[in-house]
Amino acid sequence: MTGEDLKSVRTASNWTQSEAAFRLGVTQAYLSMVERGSRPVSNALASKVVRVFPLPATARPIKHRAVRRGGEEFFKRALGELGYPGFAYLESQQLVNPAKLLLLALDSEDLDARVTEALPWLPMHFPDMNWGWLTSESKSRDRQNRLAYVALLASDVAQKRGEFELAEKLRFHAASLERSRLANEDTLAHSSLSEAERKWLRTHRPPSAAHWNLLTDLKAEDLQHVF
Amino acid sequence: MSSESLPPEPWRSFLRDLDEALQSPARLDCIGGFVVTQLYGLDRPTADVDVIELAPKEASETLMEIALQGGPLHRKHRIYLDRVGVAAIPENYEERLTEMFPEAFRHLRLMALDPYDIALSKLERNSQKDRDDVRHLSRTVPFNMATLQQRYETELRWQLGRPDREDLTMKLWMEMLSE
Repeated sequence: MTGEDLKSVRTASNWTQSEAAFRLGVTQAYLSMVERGSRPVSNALASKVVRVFPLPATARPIKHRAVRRGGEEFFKRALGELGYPGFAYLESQQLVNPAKLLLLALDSEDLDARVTEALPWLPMHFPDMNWGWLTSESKSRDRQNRLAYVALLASDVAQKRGEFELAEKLRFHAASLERSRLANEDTLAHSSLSEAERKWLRTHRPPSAAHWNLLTDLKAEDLQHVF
Repeated sequence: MSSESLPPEPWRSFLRDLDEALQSPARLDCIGGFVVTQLYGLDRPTADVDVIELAPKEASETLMEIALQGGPLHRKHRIYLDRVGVAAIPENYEERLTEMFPEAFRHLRLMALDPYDIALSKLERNSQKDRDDVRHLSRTVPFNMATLQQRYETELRWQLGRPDREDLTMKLWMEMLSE
């Protein structure tokens, strides 16, 4: 988030600098300097901004804000806070950018299968998330195969729901990872798979999972209840 | 009533509202994640109570009206009852039901399937979360593999649409659970 971003959300809310400064717990002079770019937007201020202003989830800080992962509980609550129906009954104070949440999940060794099946819901519901950042970060962590498969699952679901434009957009994001596809066999964030399951999945996974070298049998038909 | 004999929130309030909506006793036969988390300590999220039987019919109509997905209790508590109509269950499951939270509610009786029956009810779908649940049950109970195999062969196999395919799935499960 930049000072310019902050200024635009303030003016969109029709707040004066003094009103906004009061609500953000800073002085008007400091806010003015931040908006002009002579002071950076600190992590603490960015966290307050997303709580005070009615910003979309995709506008939440993505790069600098440290998110403390608390295992499964963190993912469940963060997904619930974003509106994922399966975990919506859980309360959360975590306000995580959907792209950041997806990256953190894809970069996990062992996710609960219910969290994994929730992941395609993120690109479906936040198609305008920061894909540039997400793909670049995924590649730097060797998680591009997982990201591509999740995008493909979301695209398949969108297709089945008749949302053809969205399906095409998501398929494009997956295709953009084709040149960086990894040859190593991987799981969809489930490294604790037993050897028997691994062997079974090699012959029973969908063709697109085989293409992305992933041991998973998750497919769009399994996700109807998720959306 | 001690708090130990009641389910945790949000289930407690949801089930209390269900109970208050009833005029006479009603029985819910439950399977799925709700039972596995409440009785067998699985720390997994679930937003619904999977029910294979709701009796009697009059109570069933009342409960379906208010507690299904999209109904008033779902909107209030964000959890719901899900009537599972397609799962094949071992044939004598009713003889092995146990009551969850006995006497916790005035009219509502929540009955849980036996863990082997719960596991076998997941065989046809065989998704990753099903396999993870079965693995958890197998370690927690713990399962006797011969009992699981025998119940599959005598009480479930004949009900299945594609028994040859499920034989293969069962073989995978036995190998997976033996690791």
